[in-house]
Amino acid sequence: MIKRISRFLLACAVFIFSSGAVMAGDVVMTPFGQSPDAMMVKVVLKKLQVDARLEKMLQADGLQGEKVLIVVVAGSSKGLGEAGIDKDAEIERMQNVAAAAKEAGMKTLVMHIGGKGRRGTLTDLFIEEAVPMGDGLIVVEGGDFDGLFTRLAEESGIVLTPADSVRGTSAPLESMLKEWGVI
Amino acid sequence: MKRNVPCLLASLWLAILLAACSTTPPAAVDAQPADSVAVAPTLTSSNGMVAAANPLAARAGAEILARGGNAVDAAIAVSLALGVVEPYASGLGGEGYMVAVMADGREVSIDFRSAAPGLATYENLDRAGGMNAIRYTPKAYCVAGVPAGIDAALEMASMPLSDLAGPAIRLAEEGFEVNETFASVNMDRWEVLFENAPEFLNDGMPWSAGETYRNPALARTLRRLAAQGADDFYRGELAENLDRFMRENGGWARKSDLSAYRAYRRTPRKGSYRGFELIVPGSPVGGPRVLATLNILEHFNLGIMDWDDPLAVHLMQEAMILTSLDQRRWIGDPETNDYIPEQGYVSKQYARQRAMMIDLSTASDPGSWHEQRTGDPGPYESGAGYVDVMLAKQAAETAVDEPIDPSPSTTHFSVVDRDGNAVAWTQTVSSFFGTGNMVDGYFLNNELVNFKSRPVEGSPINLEPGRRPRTTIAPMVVREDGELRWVLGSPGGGRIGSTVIEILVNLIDFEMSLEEAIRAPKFTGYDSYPSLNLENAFPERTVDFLEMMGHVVKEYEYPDLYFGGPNAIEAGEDGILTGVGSIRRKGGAAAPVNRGEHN
Repeated sequence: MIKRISRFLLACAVFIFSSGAVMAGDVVMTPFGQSPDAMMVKVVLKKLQVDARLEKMLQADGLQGEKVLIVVVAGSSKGLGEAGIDKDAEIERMQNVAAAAKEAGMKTLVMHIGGKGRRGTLTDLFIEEAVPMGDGLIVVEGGDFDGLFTRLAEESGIVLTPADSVRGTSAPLESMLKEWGVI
Repeated sequence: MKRNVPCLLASLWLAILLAACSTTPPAAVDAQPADSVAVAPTLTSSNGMVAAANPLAARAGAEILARGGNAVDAAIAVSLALGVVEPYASGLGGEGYMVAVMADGREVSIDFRSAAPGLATYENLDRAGGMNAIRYTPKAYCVAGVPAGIDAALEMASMPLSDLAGPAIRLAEEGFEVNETFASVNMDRWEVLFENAPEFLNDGMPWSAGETYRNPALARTLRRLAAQGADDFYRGELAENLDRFMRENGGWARKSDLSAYRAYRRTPRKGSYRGFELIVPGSPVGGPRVLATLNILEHFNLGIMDWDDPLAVHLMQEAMILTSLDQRRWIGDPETNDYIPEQGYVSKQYARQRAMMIDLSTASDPGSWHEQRTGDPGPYESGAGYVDVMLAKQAAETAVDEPIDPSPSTTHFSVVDRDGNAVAWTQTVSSFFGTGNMVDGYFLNNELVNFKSRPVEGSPINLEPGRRPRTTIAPMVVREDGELRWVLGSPGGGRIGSTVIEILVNLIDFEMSLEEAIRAPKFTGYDSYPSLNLENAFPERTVDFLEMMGHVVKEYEYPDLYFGGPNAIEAGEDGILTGVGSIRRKGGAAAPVNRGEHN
């Protein structure tokens, strides 16, 4: 029996080292605004062999010792409705999560991947709140068409990293996660 | 637009709005003489015109016109090309309705609405978990009608399908640059596609604007269709492929359902509005509702108002609510319902009774709509007058029918050739990308969700094998004094009726140009929406006044695709055609240049 368990543990170790996969637990993600965009970022991360935990309604006490919090911002009335919350409750949730992440020494990456199509009154409200929470900011082309992200990034003293598409977020994501010791 | 004194400020407002939003001025056809076709958001020509939701599809139609094809030839080419460049909105796996008014006097409409398959019963639906559970599964598919519609339209065409499919095959094989609308819709529906059709995505990610999308599977399917005709889709190898997909993935459609399907060639429904003649499709789509609404509005002198007059908005909103309530209660598939009082619904006398329901100063209460404001057009079927009917105190039918909010998907295009043949054609896969499932390169519609989720006694849209669901599409041709005036229609789900009606009122009552009428801010009047949803380009005082009347106003950022994407053509008295592509969907108009010199 012990032999079998040892073999299993060895196999797991071999798999992890050979694939270069990141241990689950390094990255936690949540949407700010309850749009489905965070799922897309999860797929990009998967291609980078980063297994991130995605929690739509992540709470401050739901952090589990991760190194990085990724906040994918985009407002969805449908998503908020399905989650049973309004915009004020969503902002409060994220403020609490961001504060807890900061207290835990985590890095926070804010992402907007929907381009111009994912901008509007509701999303802009969340963007204003989200950007100051970030240690890093990735914005897909079109999302900063009016300079909103540029202004907020300057005010918050963080670097805005542009990407030409959702797929194009892979390179800056990889770079930031390397810098933050995840990859 | 009118320039009477009270309207000057409003007109100025619209002019500023249009100037601010107009990114491309109307282009003369000779402005782009690079090849046999000119393309622009707004275009004028005397050689024929196509207006479609994607400039590449408009170009496909104009190429056919340039080669000597007629309006129906071009329409078939556009239909197929839209299935390639807008696979989210329509395609071979979808359905629709077209109206053709030919210069030789023929007036034809073709009903190629989809039909519920034999296994689509309430018993099976319950077993599958209900309507919401099947929405993005093969079970939501109704037998597609586009290939049969094209086949029926070929009777009026002058060129073979193998030629007409050429532009679409080329686009599918060689690929095309993804535009912002494609990228945005793909982004919105990514989850469904990731689950159901990952092969459509760009290595698992949504397509971005500027990338090149190719669909070799669809190109092969189109080649088969071009060579073998629609029969292959319904009875041949393509039918077998669909049958196999359905069996392997729990769908309900079978080859036997496909072989039983046919498009119906019908006589279009006709009506009038302030002397203009409207030619629209009948049940089970939105043509009758457009006529019924305009019949009510004829009782009010909108011409002394302007587009942003709150009273005009109020009157239109209230009229559209009344007619949507009636549509929901009474309109359905005429082939499978014994009683569809469409004649009464579109009668001028019934409209008079309905007009009396409108309170000039106060918005109706949404809570009362379904039980107290649904009418009964039945007594008007025989041509009775409103005085007789109302004196006889006929009881109004007030059966409650739960609202279904149709998807904003769908696409509409308009074609006029140099001989004056006109085609208005709307096609759809219901939700954007339909079920999200792909077979042979095309997406399967999810029209089944347009049936009642539970049977309701007397409802014309109870789920029934072979029945065609009701939708809101309303392609139409408008004539003035017997002469072609406009060809129009729009996508937009529950907003199709309101957008088309508002365009007509803008054109006829407010005397706007076609481009102004399309660009003008839109609002909804539909019983699925208890609020008055409008684009936020109305003056603040208009919104304030509407709220004072009791309307609960919900604003959308102007311009919003939610309000549809009309693509329309105007025929001027001088023989000049003006095509306008939708500003809300980045559409375009295309026209042949120097026809006959570029074969």
